Amino acid sequence: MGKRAQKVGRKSSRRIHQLVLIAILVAVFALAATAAVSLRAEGKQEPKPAAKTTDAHGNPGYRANALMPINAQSGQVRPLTQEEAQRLANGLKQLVDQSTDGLQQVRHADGSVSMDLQGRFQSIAVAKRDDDGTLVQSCVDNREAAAAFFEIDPQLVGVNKNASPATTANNAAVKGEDR
Amino acid sequence: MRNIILARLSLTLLTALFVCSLSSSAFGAATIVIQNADAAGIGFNDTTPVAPVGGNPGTTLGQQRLNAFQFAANIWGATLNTTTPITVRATWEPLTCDATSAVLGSAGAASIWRDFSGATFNGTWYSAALANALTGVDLQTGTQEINARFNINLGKTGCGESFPFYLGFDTNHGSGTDLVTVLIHELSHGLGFQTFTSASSGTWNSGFPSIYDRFLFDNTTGKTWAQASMTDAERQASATGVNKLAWNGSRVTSDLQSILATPQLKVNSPAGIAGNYSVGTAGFGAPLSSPGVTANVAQASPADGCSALTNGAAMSGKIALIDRGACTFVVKVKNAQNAGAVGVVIVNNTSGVVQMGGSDSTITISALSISDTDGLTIKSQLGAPVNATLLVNTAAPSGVDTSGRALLFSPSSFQSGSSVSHWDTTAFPNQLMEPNINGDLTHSVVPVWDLTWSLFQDIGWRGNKLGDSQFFVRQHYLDFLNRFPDASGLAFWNNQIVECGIDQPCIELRQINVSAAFFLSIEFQETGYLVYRFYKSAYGNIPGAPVPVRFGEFLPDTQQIGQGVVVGVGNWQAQLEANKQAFALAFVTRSRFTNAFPTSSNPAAFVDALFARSGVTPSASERNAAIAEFGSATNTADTAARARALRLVAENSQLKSLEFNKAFVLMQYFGYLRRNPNDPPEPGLDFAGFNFWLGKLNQFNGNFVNAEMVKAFIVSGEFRQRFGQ
Repeated sequence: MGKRAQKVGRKSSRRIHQLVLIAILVAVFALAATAAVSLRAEGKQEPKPAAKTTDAHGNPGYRANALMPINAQSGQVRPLTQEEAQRLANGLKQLVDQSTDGLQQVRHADGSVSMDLQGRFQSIAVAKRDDDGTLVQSCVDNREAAAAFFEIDPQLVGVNKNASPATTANNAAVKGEDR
Repeated sequence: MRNIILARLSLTLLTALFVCSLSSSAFGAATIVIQNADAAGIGFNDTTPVAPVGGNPGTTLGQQRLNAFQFAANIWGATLNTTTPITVRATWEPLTCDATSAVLGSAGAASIWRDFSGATFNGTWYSAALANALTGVDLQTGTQEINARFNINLGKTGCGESFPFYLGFDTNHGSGTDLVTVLIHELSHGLGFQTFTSASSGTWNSGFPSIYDRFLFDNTTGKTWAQASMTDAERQASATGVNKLAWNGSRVTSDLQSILATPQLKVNSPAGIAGNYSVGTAGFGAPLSSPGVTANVAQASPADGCSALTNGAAMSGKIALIDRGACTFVVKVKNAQNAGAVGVVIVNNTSGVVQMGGSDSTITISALSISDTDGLTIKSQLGAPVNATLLVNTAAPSGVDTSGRALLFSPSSFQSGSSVSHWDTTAFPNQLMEPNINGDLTHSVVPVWDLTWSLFQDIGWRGNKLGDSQFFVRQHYLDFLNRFPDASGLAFWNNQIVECGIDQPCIELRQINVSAAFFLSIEFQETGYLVYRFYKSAYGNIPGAPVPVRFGEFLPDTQQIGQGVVVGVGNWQAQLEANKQAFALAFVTRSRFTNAFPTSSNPAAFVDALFARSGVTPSASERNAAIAEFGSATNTADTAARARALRLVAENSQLKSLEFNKAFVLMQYFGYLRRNPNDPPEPGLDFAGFNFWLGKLNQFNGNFVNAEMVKAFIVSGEFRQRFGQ
């Protein structure tokens, strides 16, 4: 045993004060540790991670139909009108731009070269309610993918007719349905 | 007086010496600044009063938005290592949307750089944040590295009305959109999880590849996107070639082994249909596990499971087979659970499997889906017992190519989320950087949960996994309790840190307290600390050392006593008692012990020697109790009695108190540094450091916070270097 520890061991009255403090600390943490390092002690309700009201591991699928605009006749989420699709496309075109047209490379004194992307090459988080009310969230970085997500004509967002065809098959990348 | 001053000066210098020898970095490794670029009263400056939500303490809408941004930024700030602050220029703007669809926001690098000092490859574009980190200076002061724009109207009438942003930190977003998760995802793109080459045309940006392209590997042509021999057409083709495009970075390829797995339905019998079946997973209920849930399969009645099952007796303890359709998945699974089923297999009504969404926090069993044809196969055998297992196969990573490389999302034609800057959607469990921002994502960005940090390391980022609070907690389970964390325990301790939100002093204090809690836990006190006391009782301190046990002895013994013990789970007390008895018996039969304590000595001498070595003066009753273990014997040949007597001494309450601080300090070295106090790289290769910290702990009456002992160890370079740079 170390010299100091022997000394401390002899000074029992001082030690009692130390032990009281230690005991408080130990009690606080041991209680927490006992109960929570390994939770599920019977009858104990421990703080848990926020209850997930959505998915546990696979899906963006959850429903909240109350505010959804629906077609009065069919009761379904209606497809976008041409005007709405065009408006959506106009907004997307500005956001999803991987063109390098007009971007300037600047050479610096140390030999490095930079390029201000002018807001291009951004990744865009998008979301929508599907026909069955499922909320789908995704991230797109090109016009074809953006058009496919919103199920609008790729040409509306400036995709050349001859470019790789964008599927309009709904959400092949989507992970989740709830029925 | 002079002596007092000198003594204080000496103590100060000593403190500095030992703190310096342990510390080389603080908790946070990078500063990410959210630059509020909104006009007065708008976006971040919106003064609309709101109630604090999910750990976000802001009381105005603008403040909550800013807090959420900073919280997301801090997750990366705690993990990345760069001396150059990263500025995110952020605004809230009206972005395109309608009632049921919306752009949530966007983010990305503000500028790109090549051929700078420190670049790992010349002629290669890097995002500004990574370029600054690699070169060590701000290449362009006064400008942001990342741009971020988010939709100010989301949740308002006519703009994604039913999925407003959730601004809490706790992922409890309900039917809303978890802003923090979206931000972490999009900021990750801005930090470097993106190519600047056009996936649509395959054309490099201005004639140069991106650092990301150096790891984009077409497993058909055998070329990376950065190779000049790869044509634009080949790049374009690989961007739309199913399972063609993989990440060949070594860190990702290595780390995915501990992250990705394959969910499976394994039919065990009858032999005719035995084997593994492809499945879809459920976004609710208990996560799949390994070795999983095994039971016989029973067809639910009604077959669609949409109402209370009428064959409850047949369902109890079984895996319920239920047809898809007519109601939601959660209704079916809940009905099966109510009938006593231990798992559910949903049979699809079309080919292929379905990923099952929905939520019900009361569902506690696991569920999978299988294809209609596989369902028919199983149903055809239900005349006799069909035994199956719902599991996750950790030996078979999902979302990888045949060479074990992580796949990027490259469907045959551009789809929603198509981007070579995302992982493939077949990855399981869901990854942060898949194209779909899935509702089950946590805020962890490092292994063993997520591959984002691994990819960042491949492209050149340096940092430390310890910055991720969930990883920090998990490592304590491994280092102190020698086991993997139970899910609820991990969540509890992680939440102790996460609930500090963006309050950095709170985070630092909680990290210290959480860390110390593992030493103070009953589970450790009854395993690791008991091993310490066995050695102390049997042998006293190691000659010339202030401690009784070395790390090489301590670790296997602690693992032995702790085997199968999870305090609070099952009959852990019985398991612990059995382990203690077995350990004590094995301990006294070791040659070191039998040499130290010949069986010819009488019981009283044996017991007195143990107490003497422990440093405890026993009461008469304590001494007599230990001696009585030998009954009327006049020698100590009875091995079981030797074990019991030794254990009585080791579990003596005086000994526990006497050695508590010393054991606490020793476990700092064993737990965090995985070495003895006098092992390299300890300066002097002696116990000066150990004695210093013991002195401080004693000086502060065992208050480890005021003594700054735990803090010194968890911020020490030696500890942190175990997990990064």
